[in-house]
Amino acid sequence: MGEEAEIDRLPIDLLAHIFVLITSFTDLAQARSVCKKWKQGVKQSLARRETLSFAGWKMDDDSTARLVRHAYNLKELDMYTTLLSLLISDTFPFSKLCPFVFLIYYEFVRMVVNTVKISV
Amino acid sequence: MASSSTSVVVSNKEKENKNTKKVTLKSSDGESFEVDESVAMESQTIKHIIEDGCANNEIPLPNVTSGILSRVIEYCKKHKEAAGESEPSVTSYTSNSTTNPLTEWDTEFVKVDQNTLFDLILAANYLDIKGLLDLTCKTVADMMKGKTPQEIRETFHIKNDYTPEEEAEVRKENQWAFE
Repeated sequence: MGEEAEIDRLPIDLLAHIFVLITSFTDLAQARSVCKKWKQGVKQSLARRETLSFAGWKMDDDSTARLVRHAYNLKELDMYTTLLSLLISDTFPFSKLCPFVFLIYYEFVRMVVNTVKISV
Repeated sequence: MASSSTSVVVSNKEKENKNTKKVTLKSSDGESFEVDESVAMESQTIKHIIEDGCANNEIPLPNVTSGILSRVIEYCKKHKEAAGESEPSVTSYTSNSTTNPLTEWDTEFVKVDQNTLFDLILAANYLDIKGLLDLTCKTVADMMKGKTPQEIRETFHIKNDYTPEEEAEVRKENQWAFE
């Protein structure tokens, strides 16, 4: 098992370039677990992404916040299903409050999203 | 695995009286490659060197070996030619037949060992050739599809430098990605 990891010759920013091309969050999550350098690479790749889609994923608000915080170059964010899944999740407090409050929250998010040219 | 530098120069000589401007690229191991300037300018790095008027005799590329450089030139030539023949091949997408001919060529182009693949990534990055960089990086990304971390490590011979505690924490953070 003395084979060298040729891929180690790639600097983190090139690893990040590769990870940006990965479209599945599962694959991204697996990449994070490979080694520390790859964890850095995934983090950087999130920052570089222009689109981030949570469509179909059931996210909790911690993970969503963490991902969105890293993706500061975002131009497009598919928030619709995220919000829906947050509604369903037990960890999201607003679902317990009256719908009116939730609507205000939702409209606020839409406003923020439109201001920074992110599509909902 | 002899170098194919001669094959690179050949097609230029076949051109008619058109005096296509040439430029010479020199690899890290001292081999010179004469190419059409327009082909060389597929590389933004080389394009800037030429435009800045710094390409007197040869452009030295100390970060690229001859083996890799000849492949890169092959890529640039192919893609330059394809760009030149801008036929309306859009219609071919609607017919069930085939893929864009360049896609097939590209797929064959990246069927190389890992060492060469990473050399190509590094060269494409250094020479700033977006198409080649995206192609090679996508190839690596595809090698990771659907694999567990251990399988990825085995594919690329990567050493796991997480402690068991760190690994458990990363797995916990990843929970959201799995149903």
